[in-house]
Amino acid sequence: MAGLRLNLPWRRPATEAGPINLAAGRLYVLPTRMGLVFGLLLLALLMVSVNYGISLGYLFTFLMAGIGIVSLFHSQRNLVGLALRPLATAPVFAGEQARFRLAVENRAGRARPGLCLEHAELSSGLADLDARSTASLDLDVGQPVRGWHRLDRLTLSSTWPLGLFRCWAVFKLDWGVLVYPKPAANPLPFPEPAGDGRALSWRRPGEDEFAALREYRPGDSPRRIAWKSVARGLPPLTKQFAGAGAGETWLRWQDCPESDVEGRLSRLARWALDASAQDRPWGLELANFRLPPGRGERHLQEALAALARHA
Amino acid sequence: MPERTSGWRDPGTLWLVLPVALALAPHMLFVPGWVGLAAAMTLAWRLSPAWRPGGAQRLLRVTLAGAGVAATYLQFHTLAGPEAGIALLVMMAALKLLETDSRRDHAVMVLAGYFLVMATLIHHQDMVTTAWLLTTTAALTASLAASQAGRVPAAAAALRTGTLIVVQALPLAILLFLLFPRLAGPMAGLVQVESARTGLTDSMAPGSVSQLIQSDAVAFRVDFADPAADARGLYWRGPVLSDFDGRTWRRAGNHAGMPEAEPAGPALDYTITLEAGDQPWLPVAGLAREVPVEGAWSTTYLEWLTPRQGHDRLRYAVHSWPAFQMETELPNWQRARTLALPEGYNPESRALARRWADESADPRAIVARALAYFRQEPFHYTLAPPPLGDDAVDDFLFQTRRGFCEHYANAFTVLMRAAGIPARVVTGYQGGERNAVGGYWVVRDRDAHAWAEVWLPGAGWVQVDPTAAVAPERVERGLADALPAGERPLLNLPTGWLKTLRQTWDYLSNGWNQWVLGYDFERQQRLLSALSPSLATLHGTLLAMLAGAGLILAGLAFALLRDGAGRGDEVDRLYGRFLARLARIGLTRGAAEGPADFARRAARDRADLAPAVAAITELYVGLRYGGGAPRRVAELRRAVRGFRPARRH
Repeated sequence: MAGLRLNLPWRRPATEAGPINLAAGRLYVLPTRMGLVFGLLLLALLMVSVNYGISLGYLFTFLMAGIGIVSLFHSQRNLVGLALRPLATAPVFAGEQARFRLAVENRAGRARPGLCLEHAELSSGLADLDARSTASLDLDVGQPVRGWHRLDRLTLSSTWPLGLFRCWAVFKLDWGVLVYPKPAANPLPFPEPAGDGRALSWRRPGEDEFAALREYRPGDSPRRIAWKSVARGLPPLTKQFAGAGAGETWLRWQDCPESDVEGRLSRLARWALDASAQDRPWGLELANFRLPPGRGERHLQEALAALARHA
Repeated sequence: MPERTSGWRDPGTLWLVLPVALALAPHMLFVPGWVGLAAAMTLAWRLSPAWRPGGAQRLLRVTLAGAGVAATYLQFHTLAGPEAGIALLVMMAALKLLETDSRRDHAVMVLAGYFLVMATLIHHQDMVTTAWLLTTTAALTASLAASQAGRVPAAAAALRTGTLIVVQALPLAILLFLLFPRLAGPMAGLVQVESARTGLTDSMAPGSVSQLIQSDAVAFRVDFADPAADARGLYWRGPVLSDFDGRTWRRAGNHAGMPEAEPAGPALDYTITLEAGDQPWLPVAGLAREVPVEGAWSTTYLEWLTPRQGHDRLRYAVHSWPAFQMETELPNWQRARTLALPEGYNPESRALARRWADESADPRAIVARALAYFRQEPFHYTLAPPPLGDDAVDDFLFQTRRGFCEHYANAFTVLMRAAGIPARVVTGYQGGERNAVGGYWVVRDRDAHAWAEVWLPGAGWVQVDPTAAVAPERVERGLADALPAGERPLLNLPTGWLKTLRQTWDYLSNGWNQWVLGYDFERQQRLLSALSPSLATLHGTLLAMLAGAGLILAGLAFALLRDGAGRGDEVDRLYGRFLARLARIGLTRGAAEGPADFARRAARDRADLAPAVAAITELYVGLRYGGGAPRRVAELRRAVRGFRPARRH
């Protein structure tokens, strides 16, 4: 299968979907600094044995050498066969830290102590896995810029059992986080719903008029669910009304007072958060994206995601 | 947040301190008392609940370390050499305990512990030490393993890891021990190991032998080529004492060169394993032409010596003649030396000897007369002789008449010289005990003996044992039988099952000494040539070592990495077997088909298999995605084993 394909640490790993099963072939082992010191210790032990002619000293020296080598195998054994599964990463706002959680599953009947997930300078700290258990190793990665950010090379490592060797695997997962624009710091009133003739030209103010049915989304008010169709055994639908004048707000790109792209996105994010906090129906309109008015957490996420991905 | 535990209540501290304490323990016997006290106090402080980590102690640590180095220098006048080095290591290891906060410090500490284990071997290499060595190594290894985990593991788990690693390291250790090329001969700069055993000295003053006789220590072991050989009739020759000052017998000096000597009886072949000692004597039964010990040499008195004063445990094969004739021509200077008696001592004894000489001109008759005197007069063999005055021989011969070999040899030699017969005292060993388990003979310090040699015209030096005239059983059956019943407990001789136990232990120790501690270039060569002559070359040894190490490493890799890499998880394996059996009857799971979908399809196709397929799938899904109890794994195993779908006809 793997054959003689060289899997060298400096190669850029291919992106994998996960879960990853850590086979022995993708593990690297090198001595740590303490391992090199241990090598010097072996040399010193041998010198004492030879110099003093201590036969039992030879045996002890070789026992120590054996311990070093056995610990090399154990350090590999500590990682081999682990299954790594990236968990969904909750979106964050720019400037916050995204928590990447890697589920590490140990199907073997032995514990896996001292596992550590690393990414660039970041480390999850040491985690111990009991036999037949799953734990998550967490990395808090700072996200300064909005958009979709994928984690680059990740390293799962362990120096267990003796700290003489470090065994590690390098992998790159299809694993990212959506970073919403940082909401503008200063609150501004919502834009006035006037002056737009395209979408709302036929609307008569103050009158709620049934417009259409759409698929039910979590967060929709129960009052708007088309219960008749539910009673007929159809999937739940939500009634949409045009001209929901009372509190319906449109957040539009061109209404932002800011002039730069990021500033506008920040402003829109702020408005979206504020509107959602007031639980009023609101819609979002960008140059190439339009989200009909709605309410609730999912609606908010959808809008923020659109802002995050704005090209 | 709970207050951080410290001292002995903190498992991390215990994992650090206890294994290191175990490594330090045997050194307490060798280092100066103040070093041991300082180390013990530091350990106690580290374990006390009052201990807190912190930088405030940095100054204290530096001060203590400086004081330790200074005190060591004052004690030993050097910082090099094993004693000072070990004292320093013990102190620094104890002090290092005070600053082990990080993983790195912990590891350094444990490596120092490993080195302390090695330092112990300079003093002790017996089987008990080896048991301690393995325990301590496992504990130190467990300590390292405990430090590399995220949280301090349970004691049992860490100890299991440490022990497992040590046990798995043993095959490689034994292979390397056997095959790592050893150097021929002793190393230059070999440092002499101090030894508590004195053994025979180069003089005999009243009481010097009786001290030895009360020691139970093994002097040497003899393995005869002829299993029927009996060591009890043999005299193992040690220092020959020719100079007498009226009280003490001394050696004449180191006059190198074999004396003129001829065998006078059958030869004997045996191997002696001489325990380490701080004296140079190589005991040999009678006349040996050579003793195969590096640098061994003989004096003109037929004493065999090592080149240096002390020696480690030695093993040498000897071809010797217990009966021999030596120096039929006596040089004048030697005659004068072996006739000399200091003036003014022991007038009565000298008068007696002169009377014997006047009555007979034949020296043989005089010797016989002296031995008859010992036999006929009421002499007693005892290890508790009454004290003697300045004229010790007079007091002994005419008043106390109680003593053991040194008294009889001393009195007899003085009598012979007074009668004009050249005579000298020979010390060595006589007797021994056969180890019934191993079939070899053990000669102990308590078998130390003194006898006499007289020079007779035509015959040369003739061995005479006056003790045998008084207590023949001493020579025939050993010391215990010669002693009066009341004195036997002095020797503390075991009997019955205790004796068997002791002999078994001695047998094991001897095997250990021979095969582990005595494993040197020669033994390695012998072992390898016995396996195959081509192995006994450096090239062959290295090749065998590498091949063996490769095999062991491959075995380790297979045993340790197989289950993770090849076999996969048991649950997956069982489910795979289940799929394979279904595939055999034509039901193959699609690439994108989940276990539940596949089970539904299989049940549709083969209604007869539906219950079994559903049960197995449910178990598998439960284990895979719900987390599994071992009981449910066993259930799955049973279900898959029993699942034998047959093709529909």
